[in-house]
Amino acid sequence: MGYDFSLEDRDARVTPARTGAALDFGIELEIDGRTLRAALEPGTSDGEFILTLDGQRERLFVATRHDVHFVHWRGRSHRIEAWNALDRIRQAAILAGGAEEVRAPMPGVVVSVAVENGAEVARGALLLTIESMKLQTAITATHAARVTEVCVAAGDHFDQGSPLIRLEALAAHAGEERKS
Amino acid sequence: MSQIPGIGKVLIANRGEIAVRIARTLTRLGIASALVAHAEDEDSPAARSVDEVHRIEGTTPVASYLDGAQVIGIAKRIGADAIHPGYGFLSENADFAEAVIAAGLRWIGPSPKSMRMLGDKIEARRFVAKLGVPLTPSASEEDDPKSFPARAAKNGFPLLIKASAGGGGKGMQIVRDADALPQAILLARSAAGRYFKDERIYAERYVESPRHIEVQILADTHGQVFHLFERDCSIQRRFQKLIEETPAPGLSPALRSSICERAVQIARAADYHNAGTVEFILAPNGEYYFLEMNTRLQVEHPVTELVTGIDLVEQQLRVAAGEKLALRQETIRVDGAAIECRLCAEDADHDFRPATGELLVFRPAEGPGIRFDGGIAEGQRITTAFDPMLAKLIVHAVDRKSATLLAIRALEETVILGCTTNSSFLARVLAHPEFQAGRVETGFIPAHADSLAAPPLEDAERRVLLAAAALSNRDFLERVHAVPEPFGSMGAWRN
Repeated sequence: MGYDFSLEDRDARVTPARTGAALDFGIELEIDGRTLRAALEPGTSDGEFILTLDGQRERLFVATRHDVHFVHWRGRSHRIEAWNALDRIRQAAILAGGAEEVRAPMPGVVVSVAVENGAEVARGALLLTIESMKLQTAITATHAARVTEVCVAAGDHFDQGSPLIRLEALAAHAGEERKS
Repeated sequence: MSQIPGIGKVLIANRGEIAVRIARTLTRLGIASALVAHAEDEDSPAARSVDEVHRIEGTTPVASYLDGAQVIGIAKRIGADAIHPGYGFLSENADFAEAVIAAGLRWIGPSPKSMRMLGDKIEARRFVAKLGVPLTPSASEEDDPKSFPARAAKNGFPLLIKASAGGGGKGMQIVRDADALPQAILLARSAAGRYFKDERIYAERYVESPRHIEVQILADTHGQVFHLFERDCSIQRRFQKLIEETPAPGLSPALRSSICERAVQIARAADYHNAGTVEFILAPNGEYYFLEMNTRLQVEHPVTELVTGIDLVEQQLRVAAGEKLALRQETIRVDGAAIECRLCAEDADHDFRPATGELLVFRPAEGPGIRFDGGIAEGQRITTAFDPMLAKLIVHAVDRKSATLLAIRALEETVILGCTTNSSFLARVLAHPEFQAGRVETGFIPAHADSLAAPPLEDAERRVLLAAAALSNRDFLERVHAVPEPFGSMGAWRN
């Protein structure tokens, strides 16, 4: 069974192809259709690893937080997101049920919240105002909806991708503007 | 024992890398160091680099560092002799400086009077104009509306037409020739009226492709004013400096000494003391204009320290203690070249938007010629509560070419994982042929946006990174382990 990762906005599937005690090199991986022998061993300092890929040794640094892997290799740092398959299924279920989550487009602070839990809002209605890089941005509803949860309060700091507000499309409009 | 009579203990009213940097000099000079810290910073590297930490409170972390009364109260209570404000926060607040002095403490900075005069941009312009210092030529409509177009045109094109009451670029127009001037004046006037309810406009010469050149000043209370040469801070994004260097590349010795002497002239006339920086705009034709004076230590002061060998914080302390500086202009020399890179938590590939995260791995580069001024440690959360600058990497080498190569290598060797930084963007700027040729200007980053963009990874490179990620992913490894055949030699997995 494969596992999906995202690197530079491109998805890739990594599949353990062959495993076993007989393989003294570690593991065989299939990445984007290519089979490679891979092993990862700790290096001499914290966070440092030696990756052996088809016999070639690469010194790199790896750190993981939640489903994000940060890799420093040949002078550059990269961010690789692991797509937790379960999360995807859950997300799909939410969308199918007409619910959605408005996530922060960038890190910042909440300036004000314009709606309360349970409020019904029209398309284009102001939901909340956020500030990032000294710029205020109004977050508006992309379709008529009911507010199911306001996840933040004025003054809260948030990271990129944090949920700000959860909405449920109003029946009359559900599906209609889903593409947006 | 303190090596500076009169200063036995200093309270640092700042945080982050500059607090660490000030503490380093205090410790070297045998001066006790104290720091004010918001709860969020109580376990910071800055807090660990001083002898005493005193909690300050505020509605937000930033507000607590801006609370002058609280800072002075702590300084008095702990028996500090002086306050060092660093840069930012209270450093340019003349009222605060005055209150520090009124409380019987030494203020490590210029007099409140010079801070007021030079801190106000219009007043500073007026002051330097009287000294004959060049300013961008300008004409005001108000002086005589009838002759305004002719007086404006006399300044030479391109011109920038601005609302007198303006700000934020509203109603501003660039005029490239005399034919377009009458129409531009009409438009600017109506825009000024619409935006600011004030139709007064003025025109100033628009300097295209300018360089930002600044001069480090050091002056004592005995009438001595020194310059420590110039810095070029042209590499900027969003009007903020990103890479600073000294000497400024390609400056003729005559132009260099002309600019440096101008800076000394301004500081002397303003009766300035302590460290300060006079900023100029340098046009491609070699003409330069006064921009402003910063009455404090600058972020980029380390490049000057590396090439001159002078510890600016030490000199600041000596001036504040009333000493006569043991320097001579002719013995202040520039040795080699130095470059500073500001490492920021931001995504250079996406319009420099701020990044957040947690520092999981932090390994600054080390080695001869490398100085790392940082206030960050592993485990620290990076939030948007403060400035995105994480640390400064400063290098010193025999010449600009070697310094550039050393800076690139040091950036590549610096490992910061857990938060996106501009590190590889900085390396790409330094590696850019135009930068290496010394052709820098404040519009460098937008002008070379395409060639500065991150090159996409090749497939073979992607496979290395994806393999490393997969073999570090707990879920992935569990899945591998779920395969019936056991692994014999996978080694130790660490996450």
